Amino acid sequence: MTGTDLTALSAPVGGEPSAGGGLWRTLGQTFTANRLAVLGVGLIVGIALFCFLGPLVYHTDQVYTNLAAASLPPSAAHPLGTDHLGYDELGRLMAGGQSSLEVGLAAAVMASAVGVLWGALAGYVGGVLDTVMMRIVDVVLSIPVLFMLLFIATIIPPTLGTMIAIIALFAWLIPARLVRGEVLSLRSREYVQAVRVMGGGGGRIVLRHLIPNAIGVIVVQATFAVADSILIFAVLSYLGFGLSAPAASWGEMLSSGTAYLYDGYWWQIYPPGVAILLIVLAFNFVGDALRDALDVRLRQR
Amino acid sequence: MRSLLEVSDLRTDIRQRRGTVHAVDGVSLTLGEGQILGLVGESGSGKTMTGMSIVRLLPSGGRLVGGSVTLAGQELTTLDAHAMRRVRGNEIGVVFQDPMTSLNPTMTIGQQIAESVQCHRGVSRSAARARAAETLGLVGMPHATQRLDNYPHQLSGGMRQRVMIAMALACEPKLLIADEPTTALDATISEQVLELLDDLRTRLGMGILLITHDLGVIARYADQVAVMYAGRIVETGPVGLLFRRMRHRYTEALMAAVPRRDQDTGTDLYSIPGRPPDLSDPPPGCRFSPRCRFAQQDCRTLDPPLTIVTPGHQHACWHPVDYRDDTGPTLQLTERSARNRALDPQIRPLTTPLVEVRDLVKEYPVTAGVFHRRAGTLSAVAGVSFSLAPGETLGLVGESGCGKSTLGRLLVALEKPTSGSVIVGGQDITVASAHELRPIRRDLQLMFQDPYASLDPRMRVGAILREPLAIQRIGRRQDQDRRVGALLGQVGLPASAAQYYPHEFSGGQRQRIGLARALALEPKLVVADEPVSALDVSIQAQILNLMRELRERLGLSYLIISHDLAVVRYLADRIAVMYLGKLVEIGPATQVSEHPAHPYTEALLRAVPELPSPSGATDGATAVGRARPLVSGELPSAINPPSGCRFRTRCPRAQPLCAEVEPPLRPWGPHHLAACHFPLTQPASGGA
Repeated sequence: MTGTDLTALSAPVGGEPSAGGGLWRTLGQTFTANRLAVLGVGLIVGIALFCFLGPLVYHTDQVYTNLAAASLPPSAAHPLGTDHLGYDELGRLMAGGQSSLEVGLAAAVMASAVGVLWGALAGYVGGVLDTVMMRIVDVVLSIPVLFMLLFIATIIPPTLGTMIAIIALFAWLIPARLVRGEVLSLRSREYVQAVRVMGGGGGRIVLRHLIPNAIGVIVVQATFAVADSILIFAVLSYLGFGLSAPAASWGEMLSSGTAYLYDGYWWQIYPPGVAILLIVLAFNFVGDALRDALDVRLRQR
Repeated sequence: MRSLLEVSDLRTDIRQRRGTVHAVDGVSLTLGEGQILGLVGESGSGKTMTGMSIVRLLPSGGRLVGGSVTLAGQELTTLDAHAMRRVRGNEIGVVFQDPMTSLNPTMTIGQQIAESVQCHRGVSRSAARARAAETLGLVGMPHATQRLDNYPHQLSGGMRQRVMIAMALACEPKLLIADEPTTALDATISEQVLELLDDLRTRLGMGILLITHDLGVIARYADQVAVMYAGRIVETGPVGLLFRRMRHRYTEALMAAVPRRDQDTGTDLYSIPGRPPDLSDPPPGCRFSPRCRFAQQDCRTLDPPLTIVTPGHQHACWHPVDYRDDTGPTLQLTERSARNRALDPQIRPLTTPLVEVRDLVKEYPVTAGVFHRRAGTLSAVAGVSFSLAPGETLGLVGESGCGKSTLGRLLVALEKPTSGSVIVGGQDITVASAHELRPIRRDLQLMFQDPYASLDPRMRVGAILREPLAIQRIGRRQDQDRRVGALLGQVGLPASAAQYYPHEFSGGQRQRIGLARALALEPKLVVADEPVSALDVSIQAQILNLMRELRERLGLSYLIISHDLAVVRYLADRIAVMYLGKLVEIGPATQVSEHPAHPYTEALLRAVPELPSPSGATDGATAVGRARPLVSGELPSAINPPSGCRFRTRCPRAQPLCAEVEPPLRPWGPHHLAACHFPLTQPASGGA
C-alpha cells in the first residue's frame, strides 16, 4: 500500500449500526410467525423420521411376497394390514416414503441447480445467447410433460437414479425462466455496476452478486419443485412406469390398492393417498411461507 | 383571515410487529383560508403521517388515538368512514409525491379527473368531463381538452404532477394537502408547479398544507411554518420570523446544515450528529436532546412544552436561541484554512490534466416495432469537451435527461462512447480493452446516488469493502482486512461495522460505506452521481463535509453530478452546466453562480429556492420574493433535439439566429466558457 494517510478521523462520527441481525434471521422471524409453515416443517420432519428411522424400529420384509397373508385387514401383527402380495402395509409405507422423498429432493435440487445456472447465464449475458437459451426452454416447455415422461420411462430401465434424472429433465425449465427474469432486474443494480467499475468480471458478478441475491426466489421455487417432483413420481408409479418391484413407492401402492377398490380394502388406498397428500401439502405450506417471508423483507426496505 | 383547519393535540399510533410507533404525538396546527402552511421535517419525523391523519388515509395498523381536526368548523375525527369519504376529494384534496405511480396507467387522465367529480357531485359523464377539461386548463395544461384522452405515460413528470393537482382540485376543495409535491421533479419544473400552487390558492382562496423536507421551498412559498421532529411540532411561526429569529435548537441546526449561496466554501456545514429517535420508544425529555449540542440535564428528563414567544410564534425548547445580546445564532462553524489549491486559475493550466475529455458523443439507437427497426437516435451526450486538473472538483449540473449521468458513466468506462475520447494518464480509455482497463480503473471510481441500491444486501460490509482489493489483487487477506478497517475509520464508522450487513445501517451510514468503497483503490478521481440527493438535510451535511475533508486529505478530484446547485456550489471549484447533451457553460464556481453568461444557467440558479440568510436581520427580506419562472416548458426530447441552440425552445432571449446557427463554446473570462448568441454578460476581452 502506498503512503496515503490512512489514520482514521478522530472518532467514529458516523455512528454505530443498528442491531438487527442477518437477512436470514429477519426472514426466520417472519417465517416462524406463520403457523402453517411451522406445521409444514413439522410434517416434513415427521414424515422423514417415519420413513427413514421407522424401519429400524418396525422390522418388516419388503422383498419376499407372502400370498398367504395377502390383503389382511389391520390387526395387531399388521397395524395397517397387508397388500395383495402380502407385504406389510405400514412397512411398505415407510419404504415407499423413502423413495418418494429421495426422488423429490434430488430431482428438485438437480433441476434448480441446472435451471439457476442456465437462467443466470442467459439473463446476464443477454443478446443472442439469451434468445437461443430461452427459446430452448420454450420448446421443451411446449412438449406435454407427462407424454414425454412416459415415453422416456418406457425406453430407460426405471431405477431410482433414472427416475430422478427423468423428472429433473423437465423440472429445470421453470427455475431457469424465473432466475433469468430476476437476474435481468438485478444486473442493472448499482452494486453490480460498482463491481464493473472496480474491474470485476462476469463470473464474479454472476456467482457473487446475482445468484446470492436471487437465492430467495430460488429457494422458494425449489421447495415447490420438491412437491411437484414427488407428485410426478407418484403419477409415474401409479401409471406403472415407476420403480420395478420389489422397490416400493407410494404411487405404486396406491395403484395396486385401487385394483381392489370394490373389495373394501380401504387400508390399501388411504395410507399412501394420505401420505402423498400430506407431504405435498407440507412442502407447499413451507414454500408459501418462504415466499411471504421474502416479500415482507422486501416490503420492509 | 379566517381559520380553515384546526388540528389540536392530534395523536396517531401505528401498530407494528415490534411495538407501537407513536408517529404523530400531540400535533397542533392552524391554517387560515388562502394560506400556505409549510410542514417541514426530516424523513421519519411524522410530517406525512400528520397529513394522512387529517384525511384519515393511514397505513394498516395505523389509527387516530386522540386529538381533534376541524375543517371550517366541522369535526373530522368523529366522522364515520362513509362521511369521511365524502370529505376526501371533495373538501380536502391530496397531491402525492410521486406523479409516476399515483396515476392509474390504464385510465385516461380525463377519466381519472372526472372520476372524483362523478363520485362527489353525482353529475353526468359529460358534465364531469367538462369539469375535468376546465380543471386541466386551470392547472396550466396546454390544449387541455385534447389532453383529456391521453394516458399518463404520454405525459412528462411535470405534466403528470399538474394532472394530480387537477384531480385534487376538481371538486374545489377548501384544503389541499400537498405531500412533497415537487420532490421528484427537476428544479425548473418544481418551480413551475409551486408557482402554480401559489397562484391557485390566491385565485381559489384555498388553504394549502405543504409538506416538504426542503427549507428553501418553505422559505419561498409558505406563510406559516411548522417544524416537526420525532412526531412533534418543535417550533411554529410566520415564515419570515421563523427563518430569521428561530428559537428551537433543532430549527437552528437544520438551517445551518443547508449549504447557502453566500456560504464560504471553506467552512464546514453544521451537521447534526446521530439520527432521529425510534418513535416506538422515544427518549425521555426533549426528543432532540440526544443530538443537541446545547442539551443540559433538564432537557434529558423534562419534556419542554410549547412556549409562546410572540403571538403565533411558539417553540418547545428549554434553552432556545437567545437574541437578547443580539449575537444571533450561536452555532460555531469550524473555520477551515482557505483552500488555495485549485482556486487560483493561474495555476491550473500549468499542471497536466488528470482527465481530458474530447468531443465525447454518446448516442443510443431507438428501436421500434417487433423487428427492432431503428427508428431514430437518442443523443445523450453531444460533443462534450473539458479537462479536469488533479485535485480539482468539477460540478456538473443540469435537469434530468440532460445526459449528465451518461457523461459520468462514460468517464469511468461503464459505457463506451459513440465517438470522442477520454484520456486518463495519457491513455484513451474509450479504446482500451477490458484487460488494459483494469489497472486504469483503480484511478477512476464511482459513488452512487441511492445508498440502498448501491450495496449488495447479501454481503457484509467487510466483504463489500474488500471486493475492490480482491478484484485488483492488492495485498494479502490480512492486508486487505487492515485496509478495510482503515477505510471505515476514514469515513467515520467503527471498525466493527465490517461485521454487519448494509441493511443494518441508516441511509447516511450507507453512503459513507459507498464512499469508502470508492476510495478503497485510492483513486485519483471519484465521480459522484447525486451523492446526497437521497439523504436528509442533516445527513447530507455530514456526507458533504466528509467528502470535502477526504478530498483535502487524499488530494482527490471529484466530478460531482447533481441537480442541486447548492451542493455543487458548495463542493466545486468549477461548474459545468449541461443542457440536452451539450455543455452550455463552464467556468469557476463563483463566476458561474454569480455572473452566469448563459440564460439557462441563470434559470437554473433562480429556480432553486434559497434560504434567507440568518445573520442578515432584515436585509433582503423581500429579495427572497420571486419573479416569474425564467424557463417555461420542459426539456425537449433528445431523440430529435432542436436545431441550432438546443435551449432556444425554452429561452426567453431566443431569436431566429438561434434556430439556425449552433452557438460555439467561446471564452468568457479566465477559464470561463459559454455557448450563447445572446448572453447575459459580455465576454471579457483578453481574459482579465
